[in-house]
Amino acid sequence: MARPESTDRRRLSTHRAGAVRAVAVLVAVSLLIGTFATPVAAHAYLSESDPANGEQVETLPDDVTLSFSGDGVQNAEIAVVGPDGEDVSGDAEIDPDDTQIVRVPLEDAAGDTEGMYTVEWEVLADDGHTTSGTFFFSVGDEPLDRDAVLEAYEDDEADESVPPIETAAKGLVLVALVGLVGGPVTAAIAVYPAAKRVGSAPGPVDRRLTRLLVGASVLLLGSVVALGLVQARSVGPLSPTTLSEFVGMPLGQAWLVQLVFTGAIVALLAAAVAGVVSHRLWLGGTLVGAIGVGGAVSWTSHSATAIDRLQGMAVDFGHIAGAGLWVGGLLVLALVVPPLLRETRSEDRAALAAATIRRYSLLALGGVTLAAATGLALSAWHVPDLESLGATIYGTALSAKTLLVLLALGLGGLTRFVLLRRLERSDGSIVAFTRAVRLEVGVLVVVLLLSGLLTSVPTAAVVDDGVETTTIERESDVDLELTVTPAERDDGEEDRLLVQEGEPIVFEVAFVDDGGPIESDRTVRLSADGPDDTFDVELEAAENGTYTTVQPLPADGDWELRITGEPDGQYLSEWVDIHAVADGDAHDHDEHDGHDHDHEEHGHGDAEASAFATLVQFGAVVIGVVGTVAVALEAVRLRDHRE
Amino acid sequence: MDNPVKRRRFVQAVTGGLAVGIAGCLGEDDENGDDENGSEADGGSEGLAYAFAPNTISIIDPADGEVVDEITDGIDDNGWGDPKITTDLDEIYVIEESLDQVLVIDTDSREIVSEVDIGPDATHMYHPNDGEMWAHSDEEGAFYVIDTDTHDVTEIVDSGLENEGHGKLLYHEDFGETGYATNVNDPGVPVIDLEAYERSDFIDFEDVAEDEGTHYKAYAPQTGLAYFEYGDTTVVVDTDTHDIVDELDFAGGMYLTPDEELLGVLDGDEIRFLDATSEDSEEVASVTVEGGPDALRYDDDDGTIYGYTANTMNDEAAVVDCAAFEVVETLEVGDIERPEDAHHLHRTGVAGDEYFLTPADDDGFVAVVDMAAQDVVDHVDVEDGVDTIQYVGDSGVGYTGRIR
Repeated sequence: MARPESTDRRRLSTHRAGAVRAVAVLVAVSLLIGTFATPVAAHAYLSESDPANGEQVETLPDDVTLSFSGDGVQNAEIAVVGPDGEDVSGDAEIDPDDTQIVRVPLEDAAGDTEGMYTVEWEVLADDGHTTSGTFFFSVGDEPLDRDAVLEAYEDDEADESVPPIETAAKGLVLVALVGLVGGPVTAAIAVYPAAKRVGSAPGPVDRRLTRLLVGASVLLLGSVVALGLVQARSVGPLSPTTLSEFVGMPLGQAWLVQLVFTGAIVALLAAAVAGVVSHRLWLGGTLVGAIGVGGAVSWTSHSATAIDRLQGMAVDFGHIAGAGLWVGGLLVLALVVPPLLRETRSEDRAALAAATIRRYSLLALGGVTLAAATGLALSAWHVPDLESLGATIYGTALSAKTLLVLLALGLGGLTRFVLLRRLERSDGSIVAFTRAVRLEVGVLVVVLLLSGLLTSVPTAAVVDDGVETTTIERESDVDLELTVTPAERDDGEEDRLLVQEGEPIVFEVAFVDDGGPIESDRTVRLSADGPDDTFDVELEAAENGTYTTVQPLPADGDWELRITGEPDGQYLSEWVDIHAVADGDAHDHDEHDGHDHDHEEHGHGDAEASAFATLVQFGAVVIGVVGTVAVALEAVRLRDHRE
Repeated sequence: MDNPVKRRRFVQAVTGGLAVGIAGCLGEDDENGDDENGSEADGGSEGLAYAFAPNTISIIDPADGEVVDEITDGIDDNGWGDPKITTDLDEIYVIEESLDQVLVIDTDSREIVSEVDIGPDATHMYHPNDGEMWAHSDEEGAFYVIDTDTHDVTEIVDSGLENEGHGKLLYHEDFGETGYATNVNDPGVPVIDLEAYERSDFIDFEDVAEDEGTHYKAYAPQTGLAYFEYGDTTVVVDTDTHDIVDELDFAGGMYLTPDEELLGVLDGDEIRFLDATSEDSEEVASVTVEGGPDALRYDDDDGTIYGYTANTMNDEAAVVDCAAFEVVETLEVGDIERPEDAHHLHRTGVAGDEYFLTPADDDGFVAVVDMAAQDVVDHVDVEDGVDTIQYVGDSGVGYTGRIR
């Protein structure tokens, strides 16, 4: 019976209004994401200490206090090694009122032994990551030892090593999770209705779907257990005591939540296989369980632990959920639908495939939009500038992930716009469709494994380029080479060095003639003329023929260094401009050790970092808007097609 | 070693007391043998005095009692040591303590034309050889020899036995290429070969006393005797034999009259005048100058020699009749700063042609005394902190057989 035209118009109008509302909501969500996307650091990184890095104190303090930025500290191992190589530290204590503060008492036996003390720290942060570093202070008036300082700087360089088991476990957790999130949703919205439409019984779908979900849940269980054990080892050697201590920590409690939800999913699906629970119950239960696991994973993510817990968790969970809708649904398309098609009457196959793809496309489009928008928001947080995309493992992995996502999107487009139309015209090949989907799934599994890597290594926002050594040369009859560590050249003035205010700086002077170092007949001196201060030090001869000293520049601003000596009987006096960057200002070599510096700042300055972040945030908003419009159009198109 | 003008920073306030305290001898070390001019030059500043303040070099015309020009470029909270002018009056060399440099000022263009890096903590500078300035680095106990043509350090002469210590240099044409250095860390006199640029000998004073160092020095050409402050003793050395020929039980800054016949020795509030023509260094007379006399300058007024000294402990200068051996006039020349941590106080006094000039850094002016009238004729306002003056012309501060 033909519906009255007015009714049709009203319904169409209602649908369009719904679509508009949906667009408005998604735009608002996208804008919200864009507004709170400010660069931050993840993990726990040392922001300051008492005594400070390089500080000279008159007597050995009773304890050393370390203050961390980013995450709170779950477990800390700190060793303070005195001038004689002995560990003089007691057990580190995390401040119960502020877990970002750790104190380590110094043993009385150390007395007031003068010399350099090296503090080696390693902490397990709220996000489950271990960070470590080294700094030093000295007791008494003795200048800092050049070799010890250089060694400490080398030890303090960013640890970007990839923990293989943790990375694999996290990647597999994500693979399993997207299957458990997207599988039930796709089955409920795309597969079952389409199958029902062509008269297929739900039984075969149930069997294959439960098989897929059981496999995913077992994979999830195994990877969650493995991940927990790996993280527990950060507390100590694996033992019941260690596990007990681990589950007593917030990180361990989050792991327990994952384990409980995962166990529930496994049990529920086992019951489904046994046929003792309803179709609706195991589908819904699996989704709820997966959401629980995903929530716990997001609760301990880089973003949640480094930003506001709820905000970071929401974006991270949105990313997982979006990926789940896209990839999880694709898994169903790849593993459940092809056998179903084979069992479907040949004349209905194309219609079933087309209906399934069309319905799934709506889910996938929403998933892709959500994953892409949240992914860019996460990138804005964790990648401070364009350069760090290629300079860090995090950035490289993210770049690779992005390329693979684009490849997968291309394959998805092929499926949606080419193969689907062919299927609808009945001249398409089921085999081609299956191959395309499985290839897309393969690409996206790699993407998920890369995501596991991204969650296991320090973000690009906290990884620096290591301690940089810079050499300035002055040519004359005898050349002078001044090597400064850590320091970098000023981009604006090539002949000027940039160092950090108050940081111990190793100055090495070499007089070079005919390619080799030559001795100075006179004491080699370094004079520094700063904004409000000046100092003059005698350099010590090193075994390698250089003359060295370790000195901080105590005030920020422009300094002029003068090096004098008498190599080969010739008086030499050379000046070098150097700029001491104030505490907290951008300077990338100390991002890692983070002494008195904010992690949100990177070596290329706030302006560039924020410009990149703004661009990425803008991209997130654009994708959110465009994707939302696309979802709305796809929904309207699907409805029109059904009608 | 020359480099563009560098930023100066405030060190004078920090180090002023210590600098002043370096045995009370900051400023021109011209008690013997320096700064008499050769008037053949006609530099653009002749007859003017350069007054050195932390941020300004004021160029004063004593005749008019006013500042006629200022140099500020390249000056920023400087700390000044000895100035020294070349014999042709074309260039003034002045030690800039904050950056361990010697600044070269062109007296014609009245600008800093060069900055020469030298060793640390220099106070005194000498002009023993034509074409050379010798600046003494007290940190290294060494003389940095600056070529006045190239403005480069061409030699470094280690003077002190321990490669450190505040030091001076005594030179005279009678000595040929020999100079006699003093060093507050050394128990004697390092003998310097001015040609070979090395310490060639050491005159040991340890038989006189132990654990003392040498400081002030003077030379009496008529006897060939050199006088060295050594602790509380003045050691008299025969410059031909390098033998110690006498020991005087007082010591201080020594200033020879232009006629070479008297040697004024500052001993607290006493100025002891020794017979510089007598080999036994007989004390002719002693004059009490209340208020802590310092650098003694002379004026030969038709055969009568008058000594001028500006006091460190009050705002007066005294005029001493060196024939009658009495203070004949007291002049109000303003006050100097007296840092609490200063071990000794010093006050510059410079004679230039018919004028005696002394800075009153606490009052912010330079007092100009007409030596013929024996009266203060002007207080020339300058920047606070002037403690060093260089006159361009006949300084008349003491006899020198050479015009350096």
